[in-house]
Amino acid sequence: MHMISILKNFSENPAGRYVTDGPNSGQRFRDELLTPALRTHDEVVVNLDGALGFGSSFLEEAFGGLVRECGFAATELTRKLRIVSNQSIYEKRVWRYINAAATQKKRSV
Amino acid sequence: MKKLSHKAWLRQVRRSQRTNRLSLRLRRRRRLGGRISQVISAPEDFYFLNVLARRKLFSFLELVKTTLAANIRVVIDFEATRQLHPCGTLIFLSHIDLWLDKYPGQLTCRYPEDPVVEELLQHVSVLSKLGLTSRKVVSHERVKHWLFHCGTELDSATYSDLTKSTRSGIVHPHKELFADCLNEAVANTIHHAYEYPFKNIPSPAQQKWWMLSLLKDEELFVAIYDAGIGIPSSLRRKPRFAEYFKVRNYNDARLIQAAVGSRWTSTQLPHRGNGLPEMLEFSQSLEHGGLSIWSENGGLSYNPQIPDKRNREVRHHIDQRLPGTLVLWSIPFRKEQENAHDFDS
Repeated sequence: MHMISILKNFSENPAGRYVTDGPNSGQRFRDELLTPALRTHDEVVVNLDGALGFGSSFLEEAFGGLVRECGFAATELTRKLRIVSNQSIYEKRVWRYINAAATQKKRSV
Repeated sequence: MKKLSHKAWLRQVRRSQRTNRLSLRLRRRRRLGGRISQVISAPEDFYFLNVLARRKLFSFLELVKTTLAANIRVVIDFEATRQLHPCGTLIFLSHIDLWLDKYPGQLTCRYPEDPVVEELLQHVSVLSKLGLTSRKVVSHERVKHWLFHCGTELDSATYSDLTKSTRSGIVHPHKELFADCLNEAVANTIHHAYEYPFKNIPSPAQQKWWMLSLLKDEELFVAIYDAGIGIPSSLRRKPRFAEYFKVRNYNDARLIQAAVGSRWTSTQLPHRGNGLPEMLEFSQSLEHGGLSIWSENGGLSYNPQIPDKRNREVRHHIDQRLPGTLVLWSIPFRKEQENAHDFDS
């Protein structure tokens, strides 16, 4: 099992979608931490606590982007990825973005 | 070529007459070898939401702009200024940045007469930007809770003092989403405000967002502004929707409503990013306060206190065109001990 703490391993101020938006974007989090961890571990736990807010574009790009950009299947992520947060709303959002990206991908194929 | 209405034509004629007069004055002064500068009085009230105050504020901004464009130095005189509200002040602060970038060394000011106004203008860096030294200690109750931020990118660390100091005091069932909404509102600016080229587009260094917040009487006010293309113009230029809007001829307020998306999602009309819809969604669970969005000649306000949900959204028309987009947010706040300490420090 591999643990990623957004606060300890990434930033207290995650925000934005693309690396061009700002220094702590969802794209950077996905490409630098999330994707490598998911490629090398069977289980990855992402702890979202401690950050000063995210913004939907950060979460969508970080997690929805796993399906859209990095080739992960939603079923694979259900098996490998676990989201930990004091605020259940974030966990729900992450899975909503993953499932929406999977649906979108199916439609475009 | 676009046909001008009589009113617009008159406005253009007056503007060009004013520029000609200023240029003539400038040439005369140059001939006489004098130093060319003009003192322009700042309005008494920097307030956007009041029609009369807005008219005066916009006339003042236009006069400064025209004078600078005529290559005449401007000295802003704050002697008459008595009231600074976040909405009007934020528009003014953004203009200061844009003017200083476009006309370096051409803009200065005189100290205000009112000590609180001076303290506030010092606190938001207007005096130092305009070349005056800071004479006050920022301590007044009406000043120290103002926070001013701006930037060209989305680095939420820039305004983390606001999110940290307010996160537990906001009265809302999902108060943690406040910071998310702020991030998305700024993201909106970065993705959409300067998306298309337009007349008088700021230089890349000034393609900014500006944010001003104030905690007052258990209410948190947040104003966010960009000097971008404006919501209506950006929607009209989106290729996918240009035809749709051409046929329907919606006014600016209706286009803002479309961008916010509250009543439009079923029609598949465009969202201009997630920021505004998320701010509106957040505002729908507020006990009081509200949200308003202003851009070009339109505005949309949302008041959660109105009992009939259908009447909570109101569209507005504004005579004076606001360049860019202004978002005003008012959120109830309980100043608990922890927050009070954070804010005071």
